[in-house]
Amino acid sequence: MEKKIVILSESGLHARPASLFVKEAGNMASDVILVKDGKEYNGKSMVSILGLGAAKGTELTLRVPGISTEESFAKLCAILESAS
Amino acid sequence: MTQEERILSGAAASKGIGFGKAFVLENKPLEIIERNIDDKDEELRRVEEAVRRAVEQLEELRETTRNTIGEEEAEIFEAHKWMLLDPEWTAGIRQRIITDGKCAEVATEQTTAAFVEMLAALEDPYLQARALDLRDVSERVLRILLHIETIDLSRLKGPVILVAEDLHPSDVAALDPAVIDGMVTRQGSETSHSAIIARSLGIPAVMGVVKLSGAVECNDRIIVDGDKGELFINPAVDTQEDYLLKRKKKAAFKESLQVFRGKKTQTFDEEEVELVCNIGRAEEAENVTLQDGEGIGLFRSEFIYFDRKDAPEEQEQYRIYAKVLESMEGKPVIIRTLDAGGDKDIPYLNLPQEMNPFLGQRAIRVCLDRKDLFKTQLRAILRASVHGNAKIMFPMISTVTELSSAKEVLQEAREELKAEGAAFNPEVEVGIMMEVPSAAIIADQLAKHVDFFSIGTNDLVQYTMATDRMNPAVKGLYKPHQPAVVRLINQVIQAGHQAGIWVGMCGEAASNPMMIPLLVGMGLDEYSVSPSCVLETRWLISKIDRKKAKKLLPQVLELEGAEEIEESVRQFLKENGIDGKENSDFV
Repeated sequence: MEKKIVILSESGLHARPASLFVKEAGNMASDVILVKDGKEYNGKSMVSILGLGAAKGTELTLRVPGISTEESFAKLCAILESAS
Repeated sequence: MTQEERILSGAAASKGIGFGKAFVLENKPLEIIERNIDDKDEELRRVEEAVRRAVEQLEELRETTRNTIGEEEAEIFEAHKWMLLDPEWTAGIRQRIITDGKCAEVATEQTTAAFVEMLAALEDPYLQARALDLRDVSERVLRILLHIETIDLSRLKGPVILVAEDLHPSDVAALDPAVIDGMVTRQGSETSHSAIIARSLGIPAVMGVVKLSGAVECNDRIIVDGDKGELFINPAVDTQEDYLLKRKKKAAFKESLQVFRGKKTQTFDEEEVELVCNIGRAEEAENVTLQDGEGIGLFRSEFIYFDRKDAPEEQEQYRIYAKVLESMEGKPVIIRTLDAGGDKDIPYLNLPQEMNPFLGQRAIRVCLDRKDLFKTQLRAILRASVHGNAKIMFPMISTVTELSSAKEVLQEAREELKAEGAAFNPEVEVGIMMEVPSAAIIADQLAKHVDFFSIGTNDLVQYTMATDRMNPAVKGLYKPHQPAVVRLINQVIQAGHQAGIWVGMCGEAASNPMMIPLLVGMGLDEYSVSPSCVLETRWLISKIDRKKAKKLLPQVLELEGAEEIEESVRQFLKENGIDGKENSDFV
């Protein structure tokens, strides 16, 4: 599954949503990948997500290549979309 | 040999005056030597083992910190643990061993350096602080790999002033305040984790002293002024005498507070008020007795719900509440019902992801949405009520409807228990937190439905001023002295009194010496403070004449700025003989 997402929050993908995201991603069997400017980042790693530096307006692609349910994918999208 | 006195300045990171000989910690970087490896599996195993040991050490450190310092500081080491378990970091190390043929130490160092550089480059103070944490953690792993003990200060003879480039939170947590009389670092600031821990240990500290490198040698005589953020190297005789005197006065002040032990809390003109304590974990009830608190004004019950896989059952909660109530021997214990949400996430509740958690599903809103969870807690409190003087308090009430719904659930709990023949006190007082401006505005309406109010200033300031208290950019707005906040507090107290109910306060403002004169003037009935502030608060209240404070109030309510209000309180304290001679901490 794959989806393009634009970070809308003023403060970007900051520590709180990042830690929520990592927690959620950690529960999934599949890899979770965030793509920014063609570069891939590990969605299960806090260090990696923080280092990605997603400010407001950043375009990201969320990619879950393995098996996952619609529901957990939607959850990940929701965290990114509501990143505050 | 006499040397010239030198003065350096930095951030006032932890209050107090420290006096002693310098011990300069050579923060020599760990020597990491590249070596050829024959067995990659062996290196992988070494890293794995070192990380496992490091996790163990952090868990131990967390436990000790929790017991000796506090819950919040202990959380810092929990956060360090996730870094050790970060898949990218460990993968980076593995990759450097497997593909580049590096030894475990070099692989760890290089991987960490890459991440630290990346985080530090983002120019975000939060991320830069995380970079420091990552260094702390990786150094721990490296020390294990290199078989180097962590810095051992236990053989030092006090009093010593510790001087270092930087001190990790884990180093500070291990310091003995009996030996270490102060600390000075070139890096760090008053908001760093190390500073937080220094404050809880009561070790005076100045951090962020830019010109520290090379300025101090071992055995130099040092004075650390943690109030002003200054340090004196080889101080002149005059300076030394000044500070010795200052310190003596402080110690004498602390000593003089002891006469307030076991006394009633009353104003100068002998109007009695109640002085109780805020606690998180049930074990802290001991501290309340130790510090002479007159009961518990806020038991943050959410601590019972943290760090577990599912919600605590009724029987377990009942035992905890009963124990606290019994240990208080009939003194009041106000149990605030579950305050989850906001910045307090409880994973198994599966609270929704929100744009603005502080404005969302939080506290009573969660409880009204999960009535089973709520009722379980209320039943437990009611059943425990026969063991002492329990009161129930609902957090985050913003409308009369919410209050009525909460009281309905409470009524259901009462009826269930009655039908089951379970014992409980039917007269348990019910109150609400006053922390949302909408509630404060309709305090007169809410007062008709409860037995008491308790003003939660931390959130009330945040919500009234639309100011995130964690955001340094708007720090100036986050003040209890803002005219809007002062007026709201007064309004709540007067509305409560008009309806014939008592009004307390359980936010930080209740122990703030610059707020207490105003609160006395407004007629606040109950002050709920952290156990360590009991005697000082009792002393300050005893100095204030309620009639005079009452006269001050109308003028203050007309002032248009927080600074003006602060100035007028400062003036009032001075006029009433509290001019800093006794306690230089605040005037």
